[in-house]
Amino acid sequence: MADLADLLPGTLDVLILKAVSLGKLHGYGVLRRIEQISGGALQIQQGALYPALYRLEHQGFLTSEWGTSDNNRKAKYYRLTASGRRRLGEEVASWDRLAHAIALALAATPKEAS
Amino acid sequence: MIAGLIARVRSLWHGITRGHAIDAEMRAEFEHHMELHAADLVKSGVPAEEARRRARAEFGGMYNYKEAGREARGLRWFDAFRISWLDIKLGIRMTRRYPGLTLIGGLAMGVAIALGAAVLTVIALMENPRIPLDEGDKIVGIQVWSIMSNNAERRIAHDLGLWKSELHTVQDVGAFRNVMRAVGAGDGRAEPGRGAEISAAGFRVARVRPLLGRYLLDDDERAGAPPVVVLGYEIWSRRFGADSSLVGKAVKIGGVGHMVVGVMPPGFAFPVNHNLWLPLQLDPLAIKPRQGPVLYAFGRVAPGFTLAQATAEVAAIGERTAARLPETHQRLRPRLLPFAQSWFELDSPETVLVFRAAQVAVTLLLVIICVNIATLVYARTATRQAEIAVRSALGASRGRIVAQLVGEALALAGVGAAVGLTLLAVLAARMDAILLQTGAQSVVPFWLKTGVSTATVAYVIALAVLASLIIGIVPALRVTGRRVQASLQRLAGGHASVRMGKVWTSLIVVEVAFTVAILPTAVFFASESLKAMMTGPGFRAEQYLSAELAVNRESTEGMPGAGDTAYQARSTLLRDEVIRRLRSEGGVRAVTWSAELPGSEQSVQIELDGAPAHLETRTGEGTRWSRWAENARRVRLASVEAGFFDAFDVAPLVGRTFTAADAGPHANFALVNRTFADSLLGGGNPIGRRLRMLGIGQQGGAMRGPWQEIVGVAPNVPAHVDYERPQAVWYSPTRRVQPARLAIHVPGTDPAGFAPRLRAITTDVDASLFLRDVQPLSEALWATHLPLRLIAAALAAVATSVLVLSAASLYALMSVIVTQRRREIGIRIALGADRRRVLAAIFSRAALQVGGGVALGIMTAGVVLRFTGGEMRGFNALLVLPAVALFMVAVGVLAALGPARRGLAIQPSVVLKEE
Repeated sequence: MADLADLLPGTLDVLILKAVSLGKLHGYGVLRRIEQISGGALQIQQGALYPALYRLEHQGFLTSEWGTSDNNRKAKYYRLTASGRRRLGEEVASWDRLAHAIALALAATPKEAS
Repeated sequence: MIAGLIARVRSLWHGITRGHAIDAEMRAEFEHHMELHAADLVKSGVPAEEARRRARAEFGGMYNYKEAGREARGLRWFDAFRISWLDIKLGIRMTRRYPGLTLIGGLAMGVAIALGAAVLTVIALMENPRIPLDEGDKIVGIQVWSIMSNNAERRIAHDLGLWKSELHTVQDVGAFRNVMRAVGAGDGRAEPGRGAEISAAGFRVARVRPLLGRYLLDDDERAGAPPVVVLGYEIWSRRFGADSSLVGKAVKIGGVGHMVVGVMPPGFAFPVNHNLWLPLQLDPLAIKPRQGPVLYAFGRVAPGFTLAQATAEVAAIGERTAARLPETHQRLRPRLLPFAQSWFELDSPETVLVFRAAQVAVTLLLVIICVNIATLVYARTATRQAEIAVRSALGASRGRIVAQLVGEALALAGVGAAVGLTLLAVLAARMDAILLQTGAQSVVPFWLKTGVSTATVAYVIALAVLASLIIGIVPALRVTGRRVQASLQRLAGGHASVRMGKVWTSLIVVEVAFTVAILPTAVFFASESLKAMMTGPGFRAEQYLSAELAVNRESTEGMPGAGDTAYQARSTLLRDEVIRRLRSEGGVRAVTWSAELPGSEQSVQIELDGAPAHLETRTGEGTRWSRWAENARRVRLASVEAGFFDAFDVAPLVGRTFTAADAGPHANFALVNRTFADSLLGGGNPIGRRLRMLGIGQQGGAMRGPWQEIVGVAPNVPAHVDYERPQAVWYSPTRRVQPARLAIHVPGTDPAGFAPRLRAITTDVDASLFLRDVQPLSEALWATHLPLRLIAAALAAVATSVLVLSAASLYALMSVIVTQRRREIGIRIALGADRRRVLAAIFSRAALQVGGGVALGIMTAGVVLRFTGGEMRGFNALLVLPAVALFMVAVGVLAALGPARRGLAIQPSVVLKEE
């Protein structure tokens, strides 16, 4: 199980955007969704999620509103904005390129290197 | 990108404006998170208590995440510089701990803030006046500007007719003129009322309902309509005891019965500061262009139109009139202005420049004083370097420390603001009395209110914040700079120090220079004010009662031509009768009159025989202007009664005074004063020399009055006139002056006691006569010095502030140097150096600064004097500058004395032990 702190900078942001793109979520829901969609492979330091949420909201990628959660408590729900959706698209494309490049690099054989 | 920017600004704005709410929201969100996590843990079999504990532990430090959250919202900088209530409380504590700095800084800032706020308020009121009437911004004045004289042409009766019939963008066009009318009540005593003969449209423009009855109607303006009057609240309540049955009754206005048709509510004074309204009975189309009475036109921009559209229409009518009537209107440009601006005529580039210069000057003064105080605050931080270093080491950011120091500065500036507001309140409380004394009350319009307004308080606050930024930020940034680390290291050695760098020491040079440059002007004004008080007017003014005697002008007499002559004749007759009766009163030794108060005469241009003046004419850009050049002399013209000098017991120095025959229509004799004879006639025999008045005609041509022969030279009366050089005065005997300034000699008693008798005689002679400014002549003359006294007081306050600050700064600098070089002094003394020589070497720096400042100040004063010129130049150069320079050196020595004594008391053994 990987701690997100070990991942590349900016990874948490893209994971949050992805999680929220699947439907509006409160903070704890975001955390659980990331764990769920990564098959439990990625775990986030609980409180560290919030500064990232606020930063994304400050940048205009997320918007928030207060609502009622399943346990009937007041909770703050985050949704993706149009510019957040664009940003997510760009980030996904960038990750694809990086993953492809790394895959290529790791698949290299001694013959190709010479 | 723009969406992102908007989002960031919005988020920042929310963060700043809803700081506490955001903190609460974050907390609620965190709590909710931990609750859900604990619930999940319970579901997986963890006991509830343990689940809650683990949820809290796994979440981490809430405080840190909250801080990180604020940073993520871009609020870090705001937080760093946010001044908390604690900072202010600390600041207030500091003001108590350093009472000297609080006293000096608070007083100096108070003076600068009061001056600044007063000037800024007055300028703002003059430039952007708000007429306190319904849609007051739509009320306009229509002016006819003469590009020939660069002045407003007020004989606009003909133009008024055109505007009334042709203007579509301006409605309710009308006009008024000022009239003084004696208002009589049942007691037979007449009092002057500030009246307006006004078009009925004026009341529609003002949109204020009368308190009783009705206001003027168009019908009242008809020729032959019965005379009616609308009274102001103040005159109605004071003169008529607020009699609600007065409407419909007749009262004497200017000796003529007028039916009261209405009473206006309190505070109503439209168009300017009137308290009596009479219909303006005038047929504009019957009056030829540029003839008729002096009028002020007004109107209201019609609904659906803008000021710009109305302005354009007025200009277009002006062009058409100029084409139709080139002889009278070629050089006239009608224009539309917001009403208050049209009254003050404040839109000339020169006035705007003066306003801007005044704004810059007062702000600069505050900046200079604050930079001074900043020096002192910086010196104070020398003693607190250890505290700052420790706070920094404990994790306080630079922003936090700066915020704390600015908070302290804010508390100090708060003291300054309180002092400033107190000064303003005292001045405002005295303002009505000052206006009354200077006679300015009758020209202050209703939309300008004296007193400390909200705007003034806002200016005080703004200036105090500016002051706190200067005195807080600069020293704070200096002491929290890279030296903090060094200070911390030095702390280990048991001592801390602040260096007074080049900037700070050169600051002292500048403030000493400023003091030297400004003090002579302050001393000059103060001494002139004193001189005027000591010299006196040159005659026993305290034995004379002074009053202005005016005769009511009826509207039929207002027209030029026969009416005007009739009025002049009637006024002369009535005045002569009053004087005849006064002279027969017991206790009255003499009675005389003149056009103006002695010393306040109007200035005119003249030429002397044998030295013809030359009229210089220039043309350009379609305009033509002329001015008298070369031998034209500017003097004051005093129109006086023939017995003027005898009534004041003033004997001629040469020749004779006037006789009754000199005031005849064909006699052309003049007297001049001593200054005239000395400065304009070169001290030669003035008797028989001739002079005549110069003027410029409507078309820019030369106009010369008849020659007047000088028959005598009188001493200067009054002996001292304001701060100006005694003026050359030409006395011309006359019989026709309206209104006349009476001087009644009642020796052996308080002249004020004669006032009731004077009023009784005046009322008895004719009800259309009225008196104004009845007071002892000595008081009337004293009032003319009031503006000078105010200037002197303001300058003295500023100069004293700067002087005290300079001394305090020098003291602080010396103290810091002694503290800083304590070890060096100790070691040198231990090695056998002579104490006095050691100190002399250290203090030579202070001497250099004071010397440099004095030299710079003298140079600055020299430049200032070169531009101001006139009387002040000789005054300063000879006496005051060296005195001020010496004084400043003495202040420097005194300021250095305390620290020097401390330096001399340093014991080498103690210092070395500290090491």
